[in-house]
Amino acid sequence: MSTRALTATGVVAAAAIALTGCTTSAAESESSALWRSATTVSEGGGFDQLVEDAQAEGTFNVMGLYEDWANYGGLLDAFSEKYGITINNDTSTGSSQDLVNAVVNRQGQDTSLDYLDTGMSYAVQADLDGLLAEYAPETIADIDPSYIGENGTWLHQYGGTIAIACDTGRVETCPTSFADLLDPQYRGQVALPNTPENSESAFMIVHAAALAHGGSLDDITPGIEFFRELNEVGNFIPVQGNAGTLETGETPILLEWTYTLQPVADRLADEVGMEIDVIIPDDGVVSSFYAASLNADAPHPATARLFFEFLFSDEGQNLLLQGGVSPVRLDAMIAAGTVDEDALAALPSAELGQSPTLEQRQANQDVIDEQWSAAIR
Amino acid sequence: MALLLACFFLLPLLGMAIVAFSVSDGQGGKTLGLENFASLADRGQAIANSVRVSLVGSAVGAGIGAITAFCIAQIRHRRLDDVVAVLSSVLANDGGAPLAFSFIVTIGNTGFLFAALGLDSVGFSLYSWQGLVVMYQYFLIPTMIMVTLPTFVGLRREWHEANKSLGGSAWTFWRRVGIPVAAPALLGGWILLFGSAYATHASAAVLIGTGGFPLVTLTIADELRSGTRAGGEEAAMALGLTMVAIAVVVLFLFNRLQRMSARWLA
Repeated sequence: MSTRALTATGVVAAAAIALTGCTTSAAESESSALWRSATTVSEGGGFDQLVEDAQAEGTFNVMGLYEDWANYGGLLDAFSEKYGITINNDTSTGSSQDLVNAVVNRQGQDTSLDYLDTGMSYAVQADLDGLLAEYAPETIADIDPSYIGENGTWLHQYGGTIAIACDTGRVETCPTSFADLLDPQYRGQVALPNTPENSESAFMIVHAAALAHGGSLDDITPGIEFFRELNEVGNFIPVQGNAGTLETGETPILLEWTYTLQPVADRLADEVGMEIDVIIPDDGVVSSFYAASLNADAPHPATARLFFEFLFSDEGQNLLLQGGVSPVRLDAMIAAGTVDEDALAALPSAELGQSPTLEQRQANQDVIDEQWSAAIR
Repeated sequence: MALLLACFFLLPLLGMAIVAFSVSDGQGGKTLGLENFASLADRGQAIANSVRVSLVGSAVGAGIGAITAFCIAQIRHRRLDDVVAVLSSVLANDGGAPLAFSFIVTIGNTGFLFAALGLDSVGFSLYSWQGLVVMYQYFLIPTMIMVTLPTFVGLRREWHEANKSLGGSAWTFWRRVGIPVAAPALLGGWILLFGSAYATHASAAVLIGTGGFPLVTLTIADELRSGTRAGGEEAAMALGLTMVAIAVVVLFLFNRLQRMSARWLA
């Protein structure tokens, strides 16, 4: 390459960097900056002002909000339509850690995320790292304080229970417990959605297995032992299970949340006539709530806060309920008579199981990091 | 050229090395140290798995590839040579998610050949280290053919005839001429296959994404993703540096051996 060509490349690169810098600062309007520090809607100038400023921003960046996950599809559509806001939902990836990484790696960029839906421990860590904004939606009085982060930077928005999906076309007798999964008839059939080292759902599955296998929320090792056994008898299949692998039959038995499995089961029944049973194991019932948070560095701070208001409103919570999850304001909405009765009746299990505390999660995460990969080799 | 090399090879390498050698000093700061490499012992399983898959995979690939290349060289048909050249250079670079997918739909759990070939009854599972070895053959064998075919073609007929006229048997030919001439290319090919299998990430990730069988490449990806774990990035970079070291050794040996074999075939 000639010197001239090299110089040209350098100039182009420098220009590109300068341009990115410019767009970032230009996008931040004054009213947006005001919302960035507002912790309630009244601090920012009232709800109408919030709507106006959000509409001026016009865009909402999120990641990993899968359409059939807790009815995020319906929720985002309703939000977009109600306020005329364009949604950028990157669903190419979406584990809790991916979201946090995106926030860290895209500091100051227009493409960063506005809203995060992560496992609780990820929200706690992100809060400690100063990545989240404090904001309380108008309906916060309905939410039990134990469901709100210490610094008000995250709130639980919905919860569910770990269940077993079983393709009745490929499996003769569906398992109803963790103990059943060890049966030789399920050889090469039992899959996890991800590794518990970086996924909330897989992490909770190991908790549930621990309860079923003589452990407790304080002692997750029996859960790891359970998967060691499952792997040794050849029933565990190390494929990343999801709706697609369930549909193709690659993973006839998949552990996941009730609310991610039920919509898949309904859709497959409708579209291809597959019968998928969603079973809550009778020997290990674990529930957990996901955490909603706002990026302190959100490229669209007003829109992010407007979405928070929408998410925790009756409308937003009912939309989540239609996705088969237990929204955090469910009890208050039942009491006030604002709940969607049909969706409530269709809930796979309104009763929630045990849920690990933050301390238990942190201790268990360390045990998983130490033991998991050696256990299932 | 030097600038390009610096930008795209040396700088990233330096960055990796800095992260890999920096250790938290317990007071929020960083110092240089070897602790991240000591922590590699915890990832011994991944390293052992990667070495096992690569060793077995490259041995099988090198054996089959070399024999195939030898047969093709014996046939000496122009059209065949062309087809093989094109096919193997395409296949040698084939890999990643599409490769894993094509194996899943053929001999995966529900693959259309899985039951037909009786793989279920012999207990074969694509989602195991044996499965990886089988899958890797798809690009390892063509690579081996590509690397060794010129050598086998270059074993001149005159050498055979000379050997025969001097009273040597076929065995004498191979012991005294054929194998010594072909050995550097064969060994070089095998080393190249080892490196290639060791570095494969995407196809393994698609096939066994849940860490059911940790490999070095999968572990690096996992460590980089799971930022909640302290030292994840440093450990990943340390693992990455060991891979760079292996790649450098592989390329160095391969080049030396290639040159040795080229001496005879020029």
